[in-house]
Amino acid sequence: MKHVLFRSVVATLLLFSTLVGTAWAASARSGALLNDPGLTAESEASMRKATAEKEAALGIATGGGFSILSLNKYGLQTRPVTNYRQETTYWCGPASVRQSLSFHRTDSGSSAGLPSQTTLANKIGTTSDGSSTAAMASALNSYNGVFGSVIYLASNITDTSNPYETFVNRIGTMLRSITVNATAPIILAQTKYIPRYNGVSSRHYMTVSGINDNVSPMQMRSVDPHYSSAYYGVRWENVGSTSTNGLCKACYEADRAGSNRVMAW
Amino acid sequence: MVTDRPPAKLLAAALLAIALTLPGCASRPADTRQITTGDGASLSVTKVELPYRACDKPQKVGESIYLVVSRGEDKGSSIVRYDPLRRKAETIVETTDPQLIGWFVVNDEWLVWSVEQELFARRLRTGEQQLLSTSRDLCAPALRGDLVAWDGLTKERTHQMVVRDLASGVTTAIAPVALADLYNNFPAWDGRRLVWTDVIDGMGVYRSYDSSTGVVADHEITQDDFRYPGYAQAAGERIYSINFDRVDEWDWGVQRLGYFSAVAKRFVPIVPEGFVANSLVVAGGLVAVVDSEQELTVRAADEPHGAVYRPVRGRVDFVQASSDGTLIAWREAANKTGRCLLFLIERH
Repeated sequence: MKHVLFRSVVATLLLFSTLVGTAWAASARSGALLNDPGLTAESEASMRKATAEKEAALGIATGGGFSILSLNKYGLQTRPVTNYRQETTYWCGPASVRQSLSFHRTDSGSSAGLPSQTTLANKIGTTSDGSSTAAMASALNSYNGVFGSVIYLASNITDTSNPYETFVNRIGTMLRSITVNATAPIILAQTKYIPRYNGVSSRHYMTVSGINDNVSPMQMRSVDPHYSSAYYGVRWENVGSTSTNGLCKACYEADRAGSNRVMAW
Repeated sequence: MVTDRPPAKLLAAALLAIALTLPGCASRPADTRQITTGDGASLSVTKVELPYRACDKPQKVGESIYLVVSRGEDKGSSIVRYDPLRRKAETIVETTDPQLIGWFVVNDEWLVWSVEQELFARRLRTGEQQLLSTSRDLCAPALRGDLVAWDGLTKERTHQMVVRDLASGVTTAIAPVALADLYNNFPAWDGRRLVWTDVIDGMGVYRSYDSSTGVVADHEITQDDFRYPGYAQAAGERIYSINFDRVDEWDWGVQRLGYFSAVAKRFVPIVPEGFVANSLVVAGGLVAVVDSEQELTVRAADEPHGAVYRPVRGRVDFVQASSDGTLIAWREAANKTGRCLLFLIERH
């Protein structure tokens, strides 16, 4: 039953990836678009449906609500993701996609070379205004079969009943070693809510390659492609919540600011 | 030990607040309370409600508060000067595109801000504007008088700490930054002294630059644990910082907050093991710390092992220093119709 449901989700996702567009302009010139001009009522409804189906297939949603997060639900989970520095000030999207693809390449044992950031920027339609998350998910999905199973979906978290649990469950489940068709999730963050940025403000994509809920506060491992050495690198950092600073709040506030989706997972 | 206000002082603060709201006294902020700290000093905490849901980097100059506000979806951001008495805002800087203002600092003479990779300064009196840098790196400049310091890029794309005299227009490279990674591009002034951190030949180092003499001095941490300092800010003989244990694997959760004692030549923690700080700000003789639950505590910078106070009930999102030493903590509204609250904290 679960397999049938999962096949349906995969079909929906692949169909959806043809619906989302490519080249879009406008919004904040910091790597990530604020609003997604490619969104239509139809594509938005399609993304929501696909998100609900994926969560149901993964067992992280029950009847539209979430179960209470238990301690040590995920333990320590990591995925091999290579860190690539973004080649322009506005290519955090293409660099994050390349980082996530590096996991699939390793995981699948594929001998195909990773696409360059230039190739990915063209595919995503990145402009100096940045990228859209839906186009990034679409670009990732175009490598399905090249690097094994590559199936991503662009989603928000503020449209759920519990954005914090949604954030943790999506990432935790995708990084768990037993998950079939796992991903290396990409998040869109407002950086001022990430403590190590010390209040510096930007809208920025990064890949998440680890989770550790054996520690308190809970941590995730970010793979940050930032062009600046001060922020580039792989780090364990606090997840926080929707009210305490950390990766979750950074993603939550980025979501509240505009219509561009904040997770490719 | 965490101490709140004694009941007698609560009554006095309430009477003061009532008195200030009476007709004829409306020219001062009404919502101020006092916390006696027991050493003959006191803290005043003034609450200001802004006409915005959220804001960024509020700083007090005279009776005004400068802050960054968003102009709404796709409209970019502005630096405004807000008058809390008249409840009026005046736009000072506005991004012409949907850009974000990444950082800004202000004193009574200068406003310095970054928009993505460009760094600007404006003299407040005349409006005269300077482009300071077009470095690709996002930076967090520190301002003191006419001097602004930041971690900039050389032509060879290595990092260096530079100081520009905004009045004369002279920029001086004061030292290379060996490890421009994670913690080391946040300089801070203490009087004429600039401090920042670095990792040189595997050793964690506090660096300081005396702008009067031009001398750069180093303090190495020789102990084995938590030897890599970041976010350094000086107060007299102590350099406060958040120290980390490793530079090969960054982990925000493995940290200690404390100060470097130039006398003992050691880093001395001031928080228990396992404490995780989200931010550290030193200003006006106070050390302000926001922990991982967003609770703000302050202590006297000259008595770091003394009493610890909670000047704000409930969480704060951030805390920021003003050029006159006032600390401003703030709490953004949880919903679109709410209002951002500022808490101005001063030591008397």
